[in-house]
Amino acid sequence: MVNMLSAMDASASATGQAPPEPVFDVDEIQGNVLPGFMKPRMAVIALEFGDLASARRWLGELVPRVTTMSQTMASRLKVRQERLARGVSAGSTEAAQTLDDAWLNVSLSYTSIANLRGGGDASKFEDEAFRTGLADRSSLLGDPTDPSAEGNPANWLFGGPGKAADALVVLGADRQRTLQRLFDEVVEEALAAHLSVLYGEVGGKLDKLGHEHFGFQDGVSQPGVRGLLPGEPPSYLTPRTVDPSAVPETWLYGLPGQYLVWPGAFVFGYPTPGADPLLAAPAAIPGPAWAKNGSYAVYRRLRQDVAGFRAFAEEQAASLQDQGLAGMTGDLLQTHVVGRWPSGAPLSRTPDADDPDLGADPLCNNHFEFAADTPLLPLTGGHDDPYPRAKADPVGLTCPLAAHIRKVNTRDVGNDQGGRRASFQRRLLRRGLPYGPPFPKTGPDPAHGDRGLMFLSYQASIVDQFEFLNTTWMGDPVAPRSPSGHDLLVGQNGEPGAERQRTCVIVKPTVIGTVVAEQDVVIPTGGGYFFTPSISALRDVLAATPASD
Amino acid sequence: MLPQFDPPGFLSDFNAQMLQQWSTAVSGWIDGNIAIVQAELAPGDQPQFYNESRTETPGEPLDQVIGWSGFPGTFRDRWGRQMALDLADNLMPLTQRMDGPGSYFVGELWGNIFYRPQDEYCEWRVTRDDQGRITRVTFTSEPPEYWQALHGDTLPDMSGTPRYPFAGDKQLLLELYREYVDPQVQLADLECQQDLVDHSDPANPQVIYPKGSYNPYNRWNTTGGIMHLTHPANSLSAEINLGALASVQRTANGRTVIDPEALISGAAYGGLNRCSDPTIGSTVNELAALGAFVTLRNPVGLAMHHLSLEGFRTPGGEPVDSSFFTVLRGQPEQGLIEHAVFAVPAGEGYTVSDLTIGGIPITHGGQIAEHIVVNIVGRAAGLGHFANTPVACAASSYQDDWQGNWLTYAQAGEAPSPVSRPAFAYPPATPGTAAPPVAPAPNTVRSLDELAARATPKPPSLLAGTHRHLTRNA
Ligand code: HEM
Repeated sequence: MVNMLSAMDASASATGQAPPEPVFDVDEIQGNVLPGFMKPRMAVIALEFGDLASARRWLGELVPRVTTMSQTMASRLKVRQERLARGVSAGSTEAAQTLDDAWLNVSLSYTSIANLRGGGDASKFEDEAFRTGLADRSSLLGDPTDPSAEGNPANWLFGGPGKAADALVVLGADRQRTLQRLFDEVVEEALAAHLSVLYGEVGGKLDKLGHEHFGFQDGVSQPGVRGLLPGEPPSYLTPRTVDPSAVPETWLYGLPGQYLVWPGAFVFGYPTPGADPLLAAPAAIPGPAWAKNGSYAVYRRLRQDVAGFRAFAEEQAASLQDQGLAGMTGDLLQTHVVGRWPSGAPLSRTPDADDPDLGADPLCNNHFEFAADTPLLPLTGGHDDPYPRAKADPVGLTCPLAAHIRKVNTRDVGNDQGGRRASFQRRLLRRGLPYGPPFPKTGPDPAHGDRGLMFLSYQASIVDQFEFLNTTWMGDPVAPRSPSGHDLLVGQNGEPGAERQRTCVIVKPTVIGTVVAEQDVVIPTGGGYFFTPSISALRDVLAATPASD
Repeated sequence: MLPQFDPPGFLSDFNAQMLQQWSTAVSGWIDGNIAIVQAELAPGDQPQFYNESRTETPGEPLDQVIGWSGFPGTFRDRWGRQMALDLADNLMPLTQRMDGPGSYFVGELWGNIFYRPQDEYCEWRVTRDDQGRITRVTFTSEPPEYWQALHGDTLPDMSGTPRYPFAGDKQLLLELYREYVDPQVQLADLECQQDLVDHSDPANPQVIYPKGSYNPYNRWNTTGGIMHLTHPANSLSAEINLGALASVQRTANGRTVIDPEALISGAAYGGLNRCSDPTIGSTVNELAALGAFVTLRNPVGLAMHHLSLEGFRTPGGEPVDSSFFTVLRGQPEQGLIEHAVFAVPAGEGYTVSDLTIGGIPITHGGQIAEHIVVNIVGRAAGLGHFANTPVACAASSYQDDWQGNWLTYAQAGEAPSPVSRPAFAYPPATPGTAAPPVAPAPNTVRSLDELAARATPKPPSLLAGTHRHLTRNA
């Protein structure tokens, strides 16, 4: 491991200053890692190499087309300006109207890196999940071990035994036609270089707001990545919105409630989170030196059984009524299972009914903590937060501890790993979008149930971030906090002998209701673990012929 | 009201008289801690920590399972996972702390007395065959006090004065050791052959375990086996103390402290880097913040809640099921596992070393401990009953510059090491005045050499000392 000490001088604490943050190599980092494509359309192409010489040539030719952080950011700033000109509020989910970008990023598997490097230094990647590969880690994630089950790697579209992808190309675009054109080009070029296409999928937002197939707004809560964009003066990648008079919140949050995380949690070679969120730990490159500015990518094709989820919610809501939770309905139970209402409004801030305005307001929809009443914060730019504040909810009387959003982010409360540091160290940059048509309101299903999430996350450790959330939290009946149970939205119970049954409790002041899910409603149907190298690593290291060849 | 405190995990070795004596001791420790809390509170405020056998609380109590990982966060945060796995499986002499420099006890004899450096109230012992393959891993969460009681010793109160006598049953004690550890165990092996004296204060040596009393560090519980917890911080009275101190609301520089790490740093109620103490403390504190009576639910004690076997595979690629994890003591269906063995069922023809977790072979007991959740249960009643004045934090911690996850308590307000910075030390809250503006500061990147010159020397001396104590096939 290479260590560098960055940004270590000041204790924000001692000096009363914000902690100094590092400047990103914006022409090196791929744009979907940071700041994220965030386009309404997305496609994924999984490829297997033929001969290595052709694979290297293919990669070399692809490099100039790889969209960088600076290109992505330039377009993002254009959107911000346009919104300003049109008087649309910052952070509005409305897409810019004049844009027609089509972007490309590429990630490589451990095996393919080892092959491209002729063995060489690939083994320096410290993450054992990356080196082992998704198929062999699948049972650890709780996936079915029965080879006849749909979710078993043996039946995956790609990524199972003998079908592991060497490269994953991810595309993002504003418009379907432009996306399709790029998709076709990439496939054509890959085939010409003797690569085979194992899998290709085109998806995108189902509506303007970004609901996933179960009907809930997705992509609301993302970690706020610390760090600066170069410029005179440099500017924060993640805008700060809390007035400097509110200490320490002004140093802890991007948007209110959005914890600022040291970039080394996602990108190799930057300061990493320490126990105190304001004090960075040394930068790390837990891999070969050329891995700097890179990030691990996890792709999971997760099929969502919408009919199954709704039937489960109806049936269990009736059971909860029998258990004494009067007023429980299928829709309300779904909201408890997610922790947010369909609009994205957090249950913690509006326990009794959805509030679409709150759901759509990025300055307010993530501002809730669990340990104590969430204070109202002064915001910059004259913004205010008119919605009811979240009350202390350490035991989950309002937002259940088993709700998806509490199983994957404990925010300000302690958890099975100790204190609050997981809220800065176990985070993911989620970049996925749905695939497949929306579930029809009536009539036959044109997709025959094949719809779901093209789950894509970037992180600096697959073991400590993506896998940790799946195995240690979503799939565990006790962790991170209790009284909880399994994550009934996404979690799986792969415990031998448990027949995949998941349970959780909904705790209300006078009643504790038990919810039982007999069937998985999110089923893995493909995927892989990849590394997303920097531009120079792609060009000079991975596409180049190694000396030993 | 609770008629009587039960032994941890409802263990059933005590007769009626000893059950009563145990209850008296637990009740006494709780009362002792209530007195400690009382002394911390503002005049007129009443402790929220309560004794379930003596205090009637309003309404239905609310229980909260507080769970944490069985693998020591202390080692992981200090050394990183790989070195942590290597270290955690070994014994260490009591003259060597596992969480920093210094020793638990001072005096020559302590250098030859060993403990397991597993500080999450879950300890394990790895048994290997002649070829070094793991044949079994034995886990325990039983407190040493239970075994001292079985021996008929007198347990101390919170001030360290011997106070709670036990009738004991030495024959049963011996039988249990023979059953769970080794048929060769003799009673004398379990007893102190001399006074175990601590010379931490040279002017005032303290007899920790007198000659003839039960020796918790006896060889059948250390070098030759495992029966109960040995880490000096893994005691039942320490856990009650943590629960009690955590019931106090605290402030630092005028702000209520909520962040679990900042809270334990300020209240100094346990190990800063453990998985257990920060979360136990903050969970109790959150309940107390709701104005509730809080306590640790009966049976007061530690237990493993479950081992998750997801991702464990046999050499043939089959899932590893619960027949590999045998619970020998405690109540597994209630999440109260006190003693359990992980081993391959007889007749399979392979060993634990042949199993994999997520495709990675098992080489360390700690890999299994990583999948164990340990727990206690917090109890709250009468929400809104209290409105105590918060107490200012007296302690603070520093974050290591090299291992950013590593926190150490300040020593008399001073940095514990030159390569550390004060953690959670926000400037005083002065109502009405704005903090200085948030200005992006330039990024200083220092070279590895420069850092290395400043950094704590590593690897540490404790590495050199431990490997010779690797225990094999007792
Ligand atoms: C089909 C599968 C999934 C669905 C339908 C789903 C849905 C959702 C929804 C509706 C939210 C709340 C809105 C938001 O904050 O963005 C959310 C949040 C989140 N999900 Fe998922 N999710 C899925 C899979 C996963 C997986 C596999 C992981 C991680 C391993 C994950 C991690 C997260 C995280 C970290 C958050 C943010 C929580 C927070 O910070 O408050 N999700 N998801």
